[in-house]
Amino acid sequence: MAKRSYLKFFQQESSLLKSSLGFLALAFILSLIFLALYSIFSFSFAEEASFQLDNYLCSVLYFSFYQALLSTLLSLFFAIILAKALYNLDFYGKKLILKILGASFFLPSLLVISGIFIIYGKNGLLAQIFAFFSWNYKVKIYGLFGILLAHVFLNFPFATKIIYQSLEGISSENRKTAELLGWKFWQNFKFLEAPIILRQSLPLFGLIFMLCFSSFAIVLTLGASPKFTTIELAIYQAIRDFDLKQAGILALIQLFIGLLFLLILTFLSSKKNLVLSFKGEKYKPKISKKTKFFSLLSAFLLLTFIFSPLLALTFQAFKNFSLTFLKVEFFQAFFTSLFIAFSSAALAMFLALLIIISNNNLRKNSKNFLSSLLLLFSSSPLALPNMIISSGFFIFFYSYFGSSKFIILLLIVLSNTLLALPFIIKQLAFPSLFLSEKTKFLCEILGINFFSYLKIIEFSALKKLYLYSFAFSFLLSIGDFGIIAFFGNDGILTLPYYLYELLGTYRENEASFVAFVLLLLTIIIFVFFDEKEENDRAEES
Amino acid sequence: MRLLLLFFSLFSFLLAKDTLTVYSYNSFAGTWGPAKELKEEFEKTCNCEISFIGVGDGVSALNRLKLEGSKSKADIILGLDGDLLEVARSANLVQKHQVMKPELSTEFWSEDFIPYDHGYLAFIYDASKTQDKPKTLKDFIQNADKASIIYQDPRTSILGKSLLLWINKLYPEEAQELYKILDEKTATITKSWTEAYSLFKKGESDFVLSYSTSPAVHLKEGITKYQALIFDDGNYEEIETAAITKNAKNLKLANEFLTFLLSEPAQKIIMNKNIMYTSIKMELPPEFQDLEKVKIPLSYSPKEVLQKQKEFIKQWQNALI
Repeated sequence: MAKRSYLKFFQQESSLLKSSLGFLALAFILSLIFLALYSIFSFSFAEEASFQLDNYLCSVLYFSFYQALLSTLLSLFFAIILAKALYNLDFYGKKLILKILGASFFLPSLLVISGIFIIYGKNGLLAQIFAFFSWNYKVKIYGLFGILLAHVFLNFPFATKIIYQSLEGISSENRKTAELLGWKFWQNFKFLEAPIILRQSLPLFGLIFMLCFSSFAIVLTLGASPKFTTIELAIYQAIRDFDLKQAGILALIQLFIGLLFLLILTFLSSKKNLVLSFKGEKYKPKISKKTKFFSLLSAFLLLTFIFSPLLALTFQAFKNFSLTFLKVEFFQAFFTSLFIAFSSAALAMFLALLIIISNNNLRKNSKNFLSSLLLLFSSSPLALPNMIISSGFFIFFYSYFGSSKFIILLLIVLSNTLLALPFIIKQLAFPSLFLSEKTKFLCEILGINFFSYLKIIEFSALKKLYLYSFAFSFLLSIGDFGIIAFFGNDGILTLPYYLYELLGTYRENEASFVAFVLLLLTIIIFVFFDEKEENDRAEES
Repeated sequence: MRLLLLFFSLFSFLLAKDTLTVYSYNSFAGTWGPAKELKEEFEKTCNCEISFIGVGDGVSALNRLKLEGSKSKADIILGLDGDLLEVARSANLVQKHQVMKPELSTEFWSEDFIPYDHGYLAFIYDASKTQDKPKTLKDFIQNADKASIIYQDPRTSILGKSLLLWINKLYPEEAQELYKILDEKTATITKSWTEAYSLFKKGESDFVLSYSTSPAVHLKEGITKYQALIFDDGNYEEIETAAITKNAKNLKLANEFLTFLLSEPAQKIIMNKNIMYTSIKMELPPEFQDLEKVKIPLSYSPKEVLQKQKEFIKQWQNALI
């Protein structure tokens, strides 16, 4: 009896411990964020600067919303069309294409921009085709159009993939019933697909909106005019002028908007239960010739939109390749990038794991409010401008420790970790929770302890999802072009930075080679790790 | 044992070379900038080690110096121009040098900053495509095609800022209106010179704001089609400077380095890599001699720039939104 109560006590203890692990991780994250904000504000009050909400700032706020909304709606619109078209079609290589669709989300923005130029630029492929037919090429890639183009390019393929997966998730029974009822295309869409797409679209909408809202590199390159300035860009300019008070206040505005958004999203998506969708042959309803034709057409057009810049870039890289490109600097940049990406992905995974363990435990003990709070706040880096995080860290470390290579590396790793964390948690939290609820009784009966649980159940059941999340954060970090562009490199060279340097010194051939390496790296990593849809996919229903 | 340690530390102290840390902008310190060759040349004579650190651009370098305060490793700050000199002075970041004034090809000289190169703002164009050359800046802005000009953002680039100064210097009354016209003629506004120039080379625009010396790099490759627009009413002058920081550890070495920057070998390296005019009077290579000379150099003093630039930028911003 005594032994038993001791065991129970121990279990309670460990439950408390498990719950607090995540809050420990959260405290770490929040203190980093606090540190960043504190450094900026403490410096700003030492300076004389004033904040005014003038015409210009109002137009910045307006434009940030406007372009983000448009980008998001367009991305979702095209995603639904392509997902539906792909669902209707079956062809060789579809799986690979779907994987690449997922990967395009991670393409470094510098790479996307150069790809877009090759196709849509004034001397790009399209312009040449137009010139061939002696038409007038009027596409103006700078300004709103270019920004939307790049944002849609980055986000719509990813959204396509998610929506495609949810279409696949519709059960065979429902499909068969629909066919028996003789539903047409629109009825199918309205009653069967639209509800599922809509449910999937809400979190997607939130994610894409947030990303576009705080988009930096793209707006910087394609829209840089006071007319087309986002908050993130305004922050960048304020920091450059050392007008830290302005930067800090803008950051708070963005943080506020971002948190509000996250809150709405959490509220919208928290009511769902989870079921696993099962592997196996899905029943595919037959489609009419007309539908098939339109599916082919739209898939062809939209896939061309996605693949043409990537193929053009690859072609350019191969055409102009020379062995002299393989310099010391290239390898240095390559390995530094790998190191940074690996470290930040590992750290982010570790923090995410702590948070997820706590979250599972909180839910198990029905502390749902605490759990939501934990998840919401661990996503807060998504709401805070990356610019502020990196420059805040920078200010803190530099004014207290002086500069060194180590510090710069640490800063890059930390800011990338924070960036990746919300994505990982979003990926892992629900499947992990689902698994833990499913195996709750089993574990109790078998007396499986915490570490064996992780080893035997969590990591083996969700192995692919974990690998995928790791790859995800790895790729997010490898393309990062934030902090290093800001404050100089102290001899640290990363691939995106090297690419930037090459582009800036007219070495376009060499630049296309480096861009290609980045592209290849992204796609290889993604294709190898993105196996999750085969096994342990948790579908919301 | 302790004696041995002492001996070792003494020995290593004797062997250790003096180091000089130079903060400069990225394209100066980067793989293709003049830093590499300057380092080799200077280290030949000084028994020292010199380390160039690329810190974004001039503004970032200055910000970094501000941030680091007394902890900064920098002995020299290199790459400041325009109002940044005045900002550095008022933040008490630099000190007086002891460099003898050589015979200069620019007017600028001060007791803290030395000019290491200079150039003139000019719009570069492809002469094989565009024939008629406008006579004045206003002429140019008014007659250019729609979406044909790329220039740099005044908020992030010294060139862009200098363009506003240029316009204000020549046409103070009409600046606002000219910005609006310029906006119609603008293909894009880039963050820095590098993006602007590579876009121009890709054919994204007919004109790009750069320096009157930019065609030299193409002349060297035998390409003559890129030319600079030299206006009858003047081109704005930009002078790049270097200074010793307030907390410099080795003043003697720092002064030697500044003197070295004004020597012929160093000037030649800088000219060839930065594609700017030398600041001392010396024989120029053929590709520089072939360049069209600027008729009237225009400039504001650093103090004036500091006073006026915020207002100019605001004016430009409001004209464009």
